[in-house]
Amino acid sequence: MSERLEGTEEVAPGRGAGLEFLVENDDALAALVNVIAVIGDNEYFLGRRVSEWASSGPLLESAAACAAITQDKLGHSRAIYALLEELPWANRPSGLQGEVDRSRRYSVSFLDDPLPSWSSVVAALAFVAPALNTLLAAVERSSYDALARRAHRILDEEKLTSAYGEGLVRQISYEERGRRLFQERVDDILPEMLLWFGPEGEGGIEAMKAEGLISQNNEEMRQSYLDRLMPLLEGCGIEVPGVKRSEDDTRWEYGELEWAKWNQLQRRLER
Amino acid sequence: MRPVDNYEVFTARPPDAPLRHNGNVRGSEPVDAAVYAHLMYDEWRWREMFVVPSREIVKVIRPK
Repeated sequence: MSERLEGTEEVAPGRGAGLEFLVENDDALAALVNVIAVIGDNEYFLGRRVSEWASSGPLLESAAACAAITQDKLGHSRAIYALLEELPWANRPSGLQGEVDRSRRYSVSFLDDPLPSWSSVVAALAFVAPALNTLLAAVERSSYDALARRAHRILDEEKLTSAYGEGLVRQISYEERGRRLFQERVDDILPEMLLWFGPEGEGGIEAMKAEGLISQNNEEMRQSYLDRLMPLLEGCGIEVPGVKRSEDDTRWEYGELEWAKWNQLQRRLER
Repeated sequence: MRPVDNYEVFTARPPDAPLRHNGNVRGSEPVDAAVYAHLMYDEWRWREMFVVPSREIVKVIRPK
């Protein structure tokens, strides 16, 4: 029996009362659940890893910014995780409240352990955050309205964090030593982030696109990501071996990606 | 490390309230200072916020 006052369901439906999202295509629904878990886990672990630097950034200002970003990222993960409970899919992953709540992680392996250096923090904010924003932009007009609304709100809040991440890259690259340390992190993280968008023509993403759940396919997202990232890196003198514009200047070329090391379900490198 | 400058932070909140001086932040460029100010002085939903390079402020009366 409902605990709500009689008659209030009609004007203020409770959770699950007629709000269940239905999509006929099981492949699309499975991919949607996966994408939500992937966004949630990456937001969660990015927030958690940045929080560990909230008392030790190189400037008081950067430490305070880490605390603010942590608050944002953990808030985003909670907003996104709530969607998992509403989707009609058996054995869906649960949201994380703590690092060891669930053994299977849907976050990039770069965030598995505490970030060991400030250059790693800069790399996480400069590479993982824009990748998440690229995916969120692709679902901002999703036919799953609850996801679209959350993506829109997160992207609005991310404008500031994106500017901060870009500023950190310019800051750390200013001197040779910082640039060299950051370059090492770039060499480490970029291959995983290029894989993160999935192989071209991935069944689940194609099914989501056909259902209007996402607006870009794997390759379109990867190209959007590189459009965001490459001008910043090139402007800071960071080398990105193997990534260059095509001869006709219509797309980024990046060579062969190591799909054999890629875990498609968890969207992470097997290490 | 890239050199940082000091920026003064000014905000206004209620309608028609004048700007007030909140404090300062350090940043390598104006956009960094703006981001830091927004993140560090977020105790209210400000109506206006400005950052001004401290070196651009003309001191008319100096403390003795």
